[in-house]
Amino acid sequence: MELSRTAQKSITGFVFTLPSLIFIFSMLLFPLFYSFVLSLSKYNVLYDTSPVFVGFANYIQAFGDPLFINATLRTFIFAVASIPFGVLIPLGIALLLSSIRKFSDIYEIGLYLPIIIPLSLGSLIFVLILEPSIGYVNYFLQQILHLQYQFQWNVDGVTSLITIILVSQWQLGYQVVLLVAGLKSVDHELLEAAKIDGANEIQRILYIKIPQIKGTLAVVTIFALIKGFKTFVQPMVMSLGGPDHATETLYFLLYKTGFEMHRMGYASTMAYILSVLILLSSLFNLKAFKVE
Amino acid sequence: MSLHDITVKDQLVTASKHVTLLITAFIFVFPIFYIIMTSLKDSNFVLSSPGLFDFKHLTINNYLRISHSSLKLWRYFWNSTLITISALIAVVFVGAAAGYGFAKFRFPGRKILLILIVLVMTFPVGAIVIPLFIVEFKIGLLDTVIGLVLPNISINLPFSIFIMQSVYQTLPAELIDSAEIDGCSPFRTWWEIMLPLSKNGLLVVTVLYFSVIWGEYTIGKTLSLTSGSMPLAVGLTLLRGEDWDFALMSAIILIGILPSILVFLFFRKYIQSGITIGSVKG
Repeated sequence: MELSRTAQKSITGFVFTLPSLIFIFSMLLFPLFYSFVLSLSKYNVLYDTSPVFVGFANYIQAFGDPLFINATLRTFIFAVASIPFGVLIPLGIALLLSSIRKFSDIYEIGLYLPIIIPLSLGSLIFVLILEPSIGYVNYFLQQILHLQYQFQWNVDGVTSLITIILVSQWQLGYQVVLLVAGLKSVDHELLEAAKIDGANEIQRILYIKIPQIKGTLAVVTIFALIKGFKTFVQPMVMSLGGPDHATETLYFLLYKTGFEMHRMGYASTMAYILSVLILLSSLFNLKAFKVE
Repeated sequence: MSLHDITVKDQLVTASKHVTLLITAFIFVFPIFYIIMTSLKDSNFVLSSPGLFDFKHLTINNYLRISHSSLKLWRYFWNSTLITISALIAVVFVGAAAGYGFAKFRFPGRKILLILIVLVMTFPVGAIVIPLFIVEFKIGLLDTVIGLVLPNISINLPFSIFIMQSVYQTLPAELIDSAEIDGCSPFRTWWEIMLPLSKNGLLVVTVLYFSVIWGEYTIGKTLSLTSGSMPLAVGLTLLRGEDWDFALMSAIILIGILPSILVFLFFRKYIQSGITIGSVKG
């Protein structure tokens, strides 16, 4: 029996996607589904033989758990801080990069190199640089600037949090790459016309360049926000959530709950709440920028 | 205002732009520069001179110490190499096949599958490692290299599919038809004609995901328990407490990030275009 040509093509297309679909269904979709079931269960891998269904008890517990609430608030601080650091500074750098003719390759190498450095090893480098007694930061402050001051990044909560937020921006070159690409697509004739009409550089940026890269700005903002929400590696490597929980993010807390306290059910609940936050923030952003 | 004034002013503006960019770029490379310089110091002098330019005590001793030591570094390095190469091959070719299937064929459920893949991409890895830990424990994959390779493939496949899909969309469909008329099987058409034509896309995915998988932390931290399977990006962070020797630590970190740096220096443009394509599609 001969299959019709369209049917044949349909089957061929599906077969090409099949290996990927097997991976995605078994190693992404199934775990996500299982994780949702776990989020409705009590399951301590050390004591319970199998998950016990408890309905929404974990979710109710979470909203009365000060550790969870504080970690969520802190996660929001990371996300909100990522707007000025993760969007505005990269925008400034990208505008500068796209307005010069020479040497931009050299600057780009420096700015983009951190993107590909493993995050955990990058954080480890900062642990060395920030080390209070023999790290470079204090050497710089004391020996080069001659200040009578020792910077202790991991003693009080606020300083630790700010330090980790700043260190997390080491990889903002990622956003610069996107913005530089966006700025390349700005209509050149329009810019020239504005120049002839007497618009200065600031006006050209505000009224022509920025409106034309609105889509890219939306993508960059979402990316920076999601990165803020997902902050995990830096507290893991640098501070272990300390001092006194001050740098515990939601992602960090879910790791600790699941893999140190072995409460897989409650940790899954946290993972789902985090996922919903990420999903909502990206939807909210697309709306805010009115991007289709 | 004469023409001359404008050029002087313009030159000043341009110069200040260059200075700003130079300083910014320097701040960003400084941490790498710092560990390179520290790794070349005599361990005994790190304490007395934490400055960078102590050329009197330059030495490659730290690198010799690493090669002689019983550190688990080489084990981690080997694990990372195995994980990265095997996961990368799958991410590139399985992803390319799916990208081709989605770009060049229409089949029922195609749209829904694409939406599903986008939706899955927004979930953090933290949401899948908990069930994966339980499942891998039950079937004996926990703390094995293969148990780390599989999730590294699945979390990176969606992006690979989208990048490759956008590459195949730019290739003319007539190529497939004429190959078919010549009697090529669909697989051969892809493998011998379309795949070579998409080699730029393949290179973009390879280079980008080399550094992503080499630096992967969350899966390694949760699904690997011993040095038998532990990747470098996780293993090296454990040395922190054991060995607080700045010069030695710097040398170790540098070895750990060297593969990424080399890939970056040789293939920077591909990484940049990978980031750009990925964001448009994702």
